[in-house]
Amino acid sequence: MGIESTKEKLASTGQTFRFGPETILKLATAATLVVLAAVVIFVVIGAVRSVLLVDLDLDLILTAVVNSLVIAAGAVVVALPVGLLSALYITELAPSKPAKMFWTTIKVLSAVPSVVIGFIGLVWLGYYESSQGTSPLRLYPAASLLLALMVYPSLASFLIEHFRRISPSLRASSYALGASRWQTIVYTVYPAARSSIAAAGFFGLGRTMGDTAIVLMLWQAAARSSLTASQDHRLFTVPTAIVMGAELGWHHSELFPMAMLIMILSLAISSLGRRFMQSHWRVQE
Amino acid sequence: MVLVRHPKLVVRNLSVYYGDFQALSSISLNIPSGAATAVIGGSGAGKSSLLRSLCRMNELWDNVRTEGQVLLDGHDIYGPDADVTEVRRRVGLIARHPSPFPKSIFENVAYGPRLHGVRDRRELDEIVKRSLKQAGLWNEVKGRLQEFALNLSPGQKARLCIARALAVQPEVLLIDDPAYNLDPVSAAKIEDLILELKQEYTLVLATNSMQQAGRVSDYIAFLSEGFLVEFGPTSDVFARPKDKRTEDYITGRFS
Amino acid sequence: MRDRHSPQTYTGGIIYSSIILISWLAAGILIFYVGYLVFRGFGPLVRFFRDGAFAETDNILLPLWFRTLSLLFGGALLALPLAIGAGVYLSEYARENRLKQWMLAAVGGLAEMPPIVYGLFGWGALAPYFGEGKQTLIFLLTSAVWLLPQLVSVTYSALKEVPVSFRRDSLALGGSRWQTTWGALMPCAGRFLAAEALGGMARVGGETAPVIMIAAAWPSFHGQSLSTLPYHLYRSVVESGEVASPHHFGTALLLVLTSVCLQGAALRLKRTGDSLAGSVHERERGRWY
Repeated sequence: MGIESTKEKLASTGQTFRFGPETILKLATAATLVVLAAVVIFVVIGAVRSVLLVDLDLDLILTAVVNSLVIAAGAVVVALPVGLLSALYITELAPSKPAKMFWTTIKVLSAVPSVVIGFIGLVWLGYYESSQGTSPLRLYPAASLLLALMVYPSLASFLIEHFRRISPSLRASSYALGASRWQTIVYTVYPAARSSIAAAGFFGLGRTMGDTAIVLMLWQAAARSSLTASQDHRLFTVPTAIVMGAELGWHHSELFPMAMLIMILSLAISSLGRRFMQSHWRVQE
Repeated sequence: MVLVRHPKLVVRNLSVYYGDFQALSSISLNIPSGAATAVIGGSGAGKSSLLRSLCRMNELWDNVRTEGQVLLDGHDIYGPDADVTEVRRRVGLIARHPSPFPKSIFENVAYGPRLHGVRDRRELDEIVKRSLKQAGLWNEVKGRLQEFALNLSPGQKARLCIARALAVQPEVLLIDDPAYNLDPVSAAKIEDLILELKQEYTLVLATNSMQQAGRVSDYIAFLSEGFLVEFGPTSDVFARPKDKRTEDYITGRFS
Repeated sequence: MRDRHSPQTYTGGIIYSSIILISWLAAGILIFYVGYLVFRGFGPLVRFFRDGAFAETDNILLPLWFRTLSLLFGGALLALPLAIGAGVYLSEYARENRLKQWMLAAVGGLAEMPPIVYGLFGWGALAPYFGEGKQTLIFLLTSAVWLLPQLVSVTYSALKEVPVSFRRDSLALGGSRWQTTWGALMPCAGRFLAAEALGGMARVGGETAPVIMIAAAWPSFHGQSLSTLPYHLYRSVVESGEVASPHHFGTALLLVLTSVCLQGAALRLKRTGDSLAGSVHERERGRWY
């Protein structure tokens, strides 16, 4: 093919409409966006309608949001340091065989569904047997710990994946200047990893905040064991409140505003996390 | 074995294995003090492995096994009482890909001294200035020490890495392929720098280029597939290569 | 020769050993609870499978398991064509402009959205629309909608992992964008894509919230016809008087095994994918750290 005809071809693609692969891909993208927009719009319209038409139980909404955040933060406070230490162990300290074993273990176990962890939690905490009922003081730490157990493997593997992307030649340069292993971790790996640690924190927060099963099961168990707890909305997180609302027909009007709030929170958290991940340390090879 | 009057590094029966693969086979070599020794050979001949094992950087890989001895001023750097970080401070390695830390120019050069306990800001300023001058970079960067080091040109990055290595006051400098990926002008600058540095330091260079080795080195070690084929003063090796393989390599039959 | 992992100082030694200790302790807890599940659940599970074909009691694990898997793969099949199309478009065709940034942000944000939001969508929008008889369809659609943004961003990031040089060289040889995508990029990104998709499915398959929500649309019905393993576990744990019954342990173990197998397959695919694409490390004979 001559240069002339190639030129013509290039010029023509921009001008005339041709039904080609690009059109199909565009249609697929558009369809995807429409579906996703439908979800968002559905929730937003529902929320706006509730806000305009009904007198909202603001107390319930606020309690649920605060509960979600507090429980999620508790879980991250436990899981993040442990995850960080595990990531340091795997990427900086461990010989390759144990590192591989460790990595495979946590990566595979990060897929364990939260409903299983909630079940194990109930078995171990023995909620059914205890008749004292449950104050939030007892429910919160239990929920946070179980959520931490759920999120720890994915947090650790998130961090490991990011630590591995730090260019090996940076570490090599540091060692070549006579740095000890510890100095290399503190002066080279940590500054490079700082932003991913923050990102991991937000990642964990989003994961734990959105989880339904664990808190729901704890709450159900508590509600069975004492009548007062079943009326006590102070124990709700946003997802549990939505599920209970839909299941038992309570608070229908609050469901959509709560869903919208958790959407906004999750968007904010994930975009904050993404901002932290844009760091120049990993650009190098 | 060629007689070397003041060996700085004595290599005795050094073998390096990566898993089952033997990269270096029983190398024995005296590296003279205050001179530039060029290690030449094709790719895969073991040049980088040799350089890395001279400062114990090889053991950062998991499956590497090193046998034999490397004596630095008569003390075995693989001996039981040798301190790895001290060895690496005294023997600086400049890797083939210059990789400055993503920090400022100043912080890059000050990284090493800080590791070894220099805290005083004025002393650091002094060290940074001296090292950059030695590396011939001072005039180009003196007004902008706080700038981001990754924005420098490739040639400047290479010299920054040399300055960074000089800042810990090493005794031996190992330079892996000094002109790797550089344009001729920058490469010439690096060669001038090497000629200057060999007045004060013991240099070991790994290089592919015969011309470069001829221009800057005093001694040449020729490696082939992990074996030391020939070692001697540069002029002798060029004029009267003893081994057929060396002769082939020098005359360019392999390149 | 000194061990390369040995610390150089006394405090260093303490710090290292505590890092190692805490890491293995955390992993130990994980291994312990899975081990506990296996210990308590293995017997019941074997019994269920052995007697399953003949017994007419409340043994419903086997059909439940099949239903869970088929719903999961059905949802993924529904979402996959759209997701791959959109991912390829965003990565290879769309121009770098603000619109693309917005689309990426929207897809990424929705992929990380809590599952309860999709459950609410299924409960409030799809369930009333399709009516009571079509729970399976409603659940399929809900999980497809939930998988969609995840799969789009998976496709996008899989394609972005492919080195630019592949695109450049293929285009330089006169290939069209389409040929480049399918001939040069997809063979390289495909494994990564499949792996990540399997991983996403492992997560979606174990999630309870959407099923609970859809089941909640008909409270009297309790969602018997769309019951999946996680939902079944949740429901029977919450409703039975005894938490630690063998039936629950068997169900939980089966669920864990399913998720772990999916995730394990994903990991395997990814690892072989790594070695195919060739790692960029300086020397491949050893691994850095």
